[in-house]
Amino acid sequence: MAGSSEQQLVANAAATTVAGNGSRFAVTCGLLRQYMKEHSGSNGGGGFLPAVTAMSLMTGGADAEEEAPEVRKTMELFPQQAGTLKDTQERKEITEKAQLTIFYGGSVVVFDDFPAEKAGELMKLAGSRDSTAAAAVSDAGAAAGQPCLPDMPIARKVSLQRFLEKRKNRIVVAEPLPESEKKEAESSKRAKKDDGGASWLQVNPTLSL
Amino acid sequence: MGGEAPEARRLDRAMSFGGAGSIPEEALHLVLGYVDDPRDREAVSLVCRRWHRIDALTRKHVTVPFCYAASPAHLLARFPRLESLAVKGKPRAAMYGLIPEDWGAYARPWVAELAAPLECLKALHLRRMVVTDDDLAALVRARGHMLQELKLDKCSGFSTDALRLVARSCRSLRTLFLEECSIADNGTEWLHDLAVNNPVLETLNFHMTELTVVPADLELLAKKCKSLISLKISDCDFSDLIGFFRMAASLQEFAGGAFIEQGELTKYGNVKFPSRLCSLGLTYMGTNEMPIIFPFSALLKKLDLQYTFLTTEDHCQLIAKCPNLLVLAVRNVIGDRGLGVVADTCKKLQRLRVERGDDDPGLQEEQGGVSQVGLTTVAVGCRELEYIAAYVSDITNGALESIGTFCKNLCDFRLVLLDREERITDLPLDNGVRALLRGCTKLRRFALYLRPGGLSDTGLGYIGQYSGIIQYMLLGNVGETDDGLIRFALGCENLRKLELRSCCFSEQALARAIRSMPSLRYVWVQGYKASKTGHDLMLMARPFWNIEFTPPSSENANRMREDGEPCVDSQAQILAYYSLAGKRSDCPRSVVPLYPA
Repeated sequence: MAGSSEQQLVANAAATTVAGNGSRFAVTCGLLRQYMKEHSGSNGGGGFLPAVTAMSLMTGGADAEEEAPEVRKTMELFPQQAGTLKDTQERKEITEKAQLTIFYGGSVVVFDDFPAEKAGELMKLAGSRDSTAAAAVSDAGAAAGQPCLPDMPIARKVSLQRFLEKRKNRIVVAEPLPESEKKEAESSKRAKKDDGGASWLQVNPTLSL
Repeated sequence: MGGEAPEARRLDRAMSFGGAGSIPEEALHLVLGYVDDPRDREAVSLVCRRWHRIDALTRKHVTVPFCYAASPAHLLARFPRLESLAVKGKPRAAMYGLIPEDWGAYARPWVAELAAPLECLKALHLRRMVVTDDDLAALVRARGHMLQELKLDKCSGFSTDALRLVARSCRSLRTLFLEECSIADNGTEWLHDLAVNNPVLETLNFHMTELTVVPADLELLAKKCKSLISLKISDCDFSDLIGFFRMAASLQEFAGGAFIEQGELTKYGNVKFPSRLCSLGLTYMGTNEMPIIFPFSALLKKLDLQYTFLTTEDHCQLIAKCPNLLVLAVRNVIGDRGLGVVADTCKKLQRLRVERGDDDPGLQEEQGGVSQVGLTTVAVGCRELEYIAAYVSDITNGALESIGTFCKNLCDFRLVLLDREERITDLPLDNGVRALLRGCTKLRRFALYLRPGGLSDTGLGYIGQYSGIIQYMLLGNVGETDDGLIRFALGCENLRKLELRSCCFSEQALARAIRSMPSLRYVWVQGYKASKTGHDLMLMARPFWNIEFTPPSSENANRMREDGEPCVDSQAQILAYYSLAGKRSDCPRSVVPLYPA
């Protein structure tokens, strides 16, 4: 028992370091998200960015390389959004669009067709927030000082969580898997457990009722 | 009434003061004996010194809503003749694994300073506190002979050794409540001793604990305690409880147990429940075991299906046979379909709780859980609802409006929008929330946990504006800017307790908002734009206002709960509360008390 919790501590520590590296990048993503929320206007309002995608941006254990493709996916919404504009506007927009590349916290993110006007605003925004946000993050390990803190999973009641774990175990016992699958399931389970921060983000989950 | 204002005016304060024409002391004692509501009592105590004194001497019960808000010595000095005391400890977030085990909320000072001098004390209720075997021993030494009710609710830190002491010494014990406590199991003797020594026991609850049970002891308990009306236990196979149920003739409420071998109908076919049973929660009940409830399902008033294996279809079948339910607790596996059956069948339903089930698709039968569809049908069908708590997968303004239109008795509404579905039909919920708050004027508690974009600043402003007599609120992922929070705060006249989580507010705005809510006396926040030192929190500094800041730290991220699960995430927390007890002396290292310079 002591051994396994020690192992988990180490895993957690590792996860934190990774998160530390990733968090500057995360700050950028947070700012981008905030920016787009503020400026999405009538083109879909709050639903513009699916919250679930936003959540996954900030998971403590995931590293930056994994996050980047997801971000890019999200950002491709820009051309789609532009597509809903009227023809004349769109033509005007096209002339002002270019590829935007962001180097931040060891990550590179590329956005196609990024409007120049928005890029300008983004620069301004990043410039004005950078000092405070970065300072808050440097010691925090994870992304404190984040606008809208997307990495806070809904917490689950401890009593219910305990029941659901028991239930899961019983279902596995009741319907035994073929040997090969079982081994696979077990090893993936173990991997999940050793995964430190990431694993509890999955299980843990809402504060509330 | 209207025309008699002049008459009423004669009942002025002069009557209360001493001297000629005042109510005699004895009469006031007698009259106040019939005043139990704590709010009435509070008002009485503020009339004048004499009424304050008489209230203090005749007050039988006090709840201390937060253990660091008052000192045991204060309480004793004011209410020396208390018969019943309840003290609450850790923030509610502890139930969600968000507060470290060593956070505090120790029962020790309360027991050590009060057990002996409160000579009339018959009932003690501690919630989310750390209680040691020594504390319980001290309590038993001082009050054991007359203790009638001991409730340790979600507490930790003690063992079955202390329970054994309680069982042997507290012979007047009517209620022993240990639900969801974390108890070190040093043997089962305590239950045996309880059965042998406590003939008047009426309620025993160790539901959701890990305590081991010897079925023979339960049978003995039923035999000895003829007035046992409520039993809630940990896991214990129902085939071993047949003897207990046969003996427990007075039993009205049962929860716990276990169907260890599911599908073995022959094994559980002989389980016969006592004839008066009207409240039930059978752990691990599956489709095959469900029929054992059918013969008396029409008598059931309370049904807890949270800890069962039932499918959506099972829920539909079972609930269709329960027309007299007042209280129903389920997981979201019930689905909108099951809620439809509830709406059609349970016309007297007062309390409905739809908990969050497994996120693992495949383990949950009905995909999508509960949505606006189910909530709307329930709102329309169950007009007596006083309490709705639901984790929903989707929601609309219309559903909230329906609740506001039809559920006029609602006192407590809690809604969490789960984060699995990418698309939510209808956000933000500004207008729905406004309609609900305007319609449900009896609301005293309100919780709304959404997702970014779920409620705009305008909606947040509505919550404040229409907060009415709401005293407790939990808000998560609401609002867009600091402005929303400030607008919210300006409306909250009667709010006493506030919990905020995962909101984008700055420390400065939080401090300003908190200062502007006149009735607020307790606030807990996690997930905001925290500064490293919490310096902006000092904006809310004022006399008697304790501020405790838990800085964001990677150290916290690695803390473990007792069961080895990671406990507190790395987000900063703020706890602030009015206190007459002064500075807290037992803060763990993770908590930084901030006080006015």
